[in-house]
Amino acid sequence: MSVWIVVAVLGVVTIVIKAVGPVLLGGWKPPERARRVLELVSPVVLAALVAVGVLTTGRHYHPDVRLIGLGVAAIALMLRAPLLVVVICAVAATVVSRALLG
Amino acid sequence: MANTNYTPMKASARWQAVGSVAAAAFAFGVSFGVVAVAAGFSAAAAVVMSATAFGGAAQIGAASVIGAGGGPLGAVTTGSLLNLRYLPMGITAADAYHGPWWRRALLAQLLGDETWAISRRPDGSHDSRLLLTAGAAVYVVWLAGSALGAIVLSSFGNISSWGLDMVSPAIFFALLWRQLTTRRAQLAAGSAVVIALVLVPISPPGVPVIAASLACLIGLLA
Repeated sequence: MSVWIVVAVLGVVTIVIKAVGPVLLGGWKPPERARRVLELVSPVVLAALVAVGVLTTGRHYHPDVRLIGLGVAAIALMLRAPLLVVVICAVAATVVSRALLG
Repeated sequence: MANTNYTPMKASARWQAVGSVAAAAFAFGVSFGVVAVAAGFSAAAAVVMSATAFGGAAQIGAASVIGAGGGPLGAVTTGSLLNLRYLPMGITAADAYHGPWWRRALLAQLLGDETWAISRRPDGSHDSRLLLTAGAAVYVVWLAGSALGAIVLSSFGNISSWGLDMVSPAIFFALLWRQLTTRRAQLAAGSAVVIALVLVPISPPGVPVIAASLACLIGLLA
């Protein structure tokens, strides 16, 4: 049930966010500082999601083989691999490390 | 529109751009379907979310908060924060949408990161046709990919042993990688990691990521 609540509310919020510019604010230039803050929202949330997703389990610190997967992803990104390749490499490295290291 | 000195993109280059963006979106859509089902979504919920909250990072962010035991509020807040970037992007691309307000509101839903990027001209305006063509193509393959990922995956049994817990962090990491182009972004991202990790043991799931979003205020500094 809570899944459908999330689907509905996030859907409405996204539709409004996307429509605001083209419907109401065409030609309006947001102030420089506001624009800088908004530009940073995406990278900070992504960074927090990566850290929590790789270093914790539930409410505990739990660094494990996921770090190896992340390292392999970093190497793939440095080699300019496309997104799908990055994800496959990270998952494969995690699965293999888990099998080898327990 | 100040595009008199702009040479229109050739049809072949246009289709190539649309094709490569659509191929990437399809694969990303399959990943979302996988992550959503692993987090406890039904296939129908995953596809409806792709249709309405069209934005890969936000959808996977919301699903991973649910999967980690966070409540609906945390999931909605995380997803909304990740889709908030469409506000400034929609404002800069506003001139590319024409017609009555409801038509502009409807077409604006096709906005996505890659389509916004490829339709942007050197003068900062947007190629309206490319924005909408690529947007429509990505929308269709995104839905198809989500459905494939969710339906195919939900017919298998235990998926946690496949390393699928690494799919969403890897996607977030790849998206983040492209956004760390300035010192300010690197500093903000580093601060967000510290805030989130400090809060993990002392706050409910979902809260650390939301609190970490305050690191965006670093943008107020000169």
